[in-house]
Amino acid sequence: MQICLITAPTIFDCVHPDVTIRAHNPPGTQLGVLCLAASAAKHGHRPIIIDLDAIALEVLCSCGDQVTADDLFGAFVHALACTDAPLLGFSSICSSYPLTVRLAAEAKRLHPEAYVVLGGPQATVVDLPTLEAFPWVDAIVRGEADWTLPMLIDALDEKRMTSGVARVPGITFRRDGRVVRNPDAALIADLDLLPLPAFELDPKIKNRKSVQLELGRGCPYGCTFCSTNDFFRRKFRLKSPDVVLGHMNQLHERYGVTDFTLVHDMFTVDRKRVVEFAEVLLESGSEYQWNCAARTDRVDDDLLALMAKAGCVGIFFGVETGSARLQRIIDKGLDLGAAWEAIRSATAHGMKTSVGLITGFPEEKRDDLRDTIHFFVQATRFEDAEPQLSLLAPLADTPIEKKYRDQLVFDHIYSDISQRGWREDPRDLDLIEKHARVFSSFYAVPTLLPRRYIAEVRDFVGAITFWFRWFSIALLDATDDLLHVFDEWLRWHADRGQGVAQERSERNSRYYCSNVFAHDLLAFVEGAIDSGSLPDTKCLRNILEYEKALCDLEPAPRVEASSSTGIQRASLQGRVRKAQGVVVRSFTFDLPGLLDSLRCGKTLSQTEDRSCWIAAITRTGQPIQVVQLSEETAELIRFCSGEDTVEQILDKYCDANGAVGNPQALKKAALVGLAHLHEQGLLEILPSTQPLRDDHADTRRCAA
Amino acid sequence: MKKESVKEITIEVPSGVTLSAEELAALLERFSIRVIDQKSHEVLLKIKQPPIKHSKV
Repeated sequence: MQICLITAPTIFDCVHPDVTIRAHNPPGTQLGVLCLAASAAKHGHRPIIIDLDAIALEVLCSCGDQVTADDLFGAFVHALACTDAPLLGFSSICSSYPLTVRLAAEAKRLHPEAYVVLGGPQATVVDLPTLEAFPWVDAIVRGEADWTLPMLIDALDEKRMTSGVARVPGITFRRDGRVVRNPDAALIADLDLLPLPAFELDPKIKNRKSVQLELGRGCPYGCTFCSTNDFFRRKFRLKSPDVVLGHMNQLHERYGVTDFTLVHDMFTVDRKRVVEFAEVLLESGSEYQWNCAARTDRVDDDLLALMAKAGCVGIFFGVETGSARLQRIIDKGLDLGAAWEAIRSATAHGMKTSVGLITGFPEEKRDDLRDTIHFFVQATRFEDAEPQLSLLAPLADTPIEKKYRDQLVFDHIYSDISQRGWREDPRDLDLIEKHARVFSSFYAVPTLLPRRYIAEVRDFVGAITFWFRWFSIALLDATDDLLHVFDEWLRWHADRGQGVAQERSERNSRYYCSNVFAHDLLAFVEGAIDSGSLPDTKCLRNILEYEKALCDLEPAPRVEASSSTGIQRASLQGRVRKAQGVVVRSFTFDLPGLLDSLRCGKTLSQTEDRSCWIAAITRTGQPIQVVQLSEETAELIRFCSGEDTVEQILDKYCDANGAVGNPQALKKAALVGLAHLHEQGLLEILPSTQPLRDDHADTRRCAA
Repeated sequence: MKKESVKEITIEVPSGVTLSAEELAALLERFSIRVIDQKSHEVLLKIKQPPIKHSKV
């Protein structure tokens, strides 16, 4: 029987296609759907997949910034219309569940005879209210569906509907106008029995260097906010190392995949088995790179070293809160000092870390919030750490959601866990407002601090660390109270009163994501230091000067290497100037030393009053590179105004330094310096207006 | 043309300039540049992205 599986959409942004595409960078067709397709195929069925994210990206790429949410929805519906499979199975996650439900309605409208099934983490935990609210949904497959989906298809294949379906465990379905919930299916004890996910159904698989693979399922912990236990339950299971390596090898041989996101909520629970996995990888001689998720109290330095040696390049650490008090309340129970040490250790072994934090817990007080944002900012000292701060979303059927189910409020302040676009579709909002039980993650639990305050703190801290990483650390060091800084920020805005542009007065997420915020923040800090509401420290003043110097830089167009004329081709008659997008300036303080102090957490009084030269290199689509220049480098660049030829610059350099060296040696040194700086992208050489002289046309390559 | 490659830095200089590897290394040190920071100037959609782990919820 043919079945059509539809992924859970994650792309909704239509505001700026380029940014959306870069920000999403989906890792490929969703792993869960690929797993189910493989299981269905193993049982003799014919799966096809509609990858909604792939469709969204295609529409965004082809239509540019004219795309609307309606365009995306239309493209999704068109894809549904093109299938004639008798079973349509929608995967679901909380953030796009309203859209999934609407698409399921369209599927039923287009194919009234088809059996419309939902599955995945969200539908699993809201099976009864979903079926009660949305008559176009025929059934929901709860939990792991690797065995139960094929059983359901078999049942439908025998005779459409009911009699067979009634015997399929883990299914909630309709019978005689009633919703029937069959008993749970047994967990799949031996995950090694599962087939390789059907990557052949990912149309872009041959272009992917990186894919997701499953390591195992089940988390033995019971954090109050987490939904993992509802789907995979608490029984910890791992695939054997040989099976995982076998899958990696197959994907490498078939498609050239070299990077793997190894999915398991809590891979490192069993240290012995992590060691076993790493050793199997090492013995195999494979050079795959992989990343995974772990608890900070289930790793140690030796284990991290071994994982890194075996190819682990990234770890997600769910720290959740920087408050020791809340760690206990949410049943996470991490030692925050040890958590910090794990991040430090992973960084030292060359791994990137994602540090997940949540704010907006019902019991969260001001001190707890302060601790969490301080942990967030402290984590940015590690340049390879990516802290993430989310608003709590009461995920359906989690302990927190159950406890506060009757007190949930719909205040239109969404967690980024629930909302992935910039704005909610009004049709989704209508569904959300009518069905709180089904869409609880868009609601809020009651909080001690005002929700709007918490949400704006989150935006503020996220934005300040993104725009001004070192500045945020300097502010923390100087004040030891970033909430105080935030309160001063609110006061500063209030003092400006009415009359400011709307983009400033609303201070929504888009404001914090814009460079309007960046300019405002610098103006605020400067004023606050002057007025005494923030400490007047040398460090803050210096970092402020640095950030201001970079804030207004406009990226220069990207220059193709071939369009640049090198010294060897331009001859000594070519004129030399700073490359487009390069800004050189000096500071009267030791900027590199200051940044190093902030990285290492040294006290800032340790930095010296030693002047330095830097160059900022800006190119469209690339981060600004800030480089330190030696005194002589800076001096040489100063001669490169675009007016003088190479030969004239050599003469000037020689005149300026004639007292300290042999003229020929100085010229040679300067020539090498110019060539080096040109190759590093700091200088560009304009074509000579005079013909090349033969004695300079030849080139030699020298190496260091 | 003479090409030498030691380490990974290769620069091109006009003819008439002869350099030993040691001499060149000293000059590159003299005109050194060192990356000390990098900053994004892109629109900040990044903070709107959910943590990796939550892709399953």
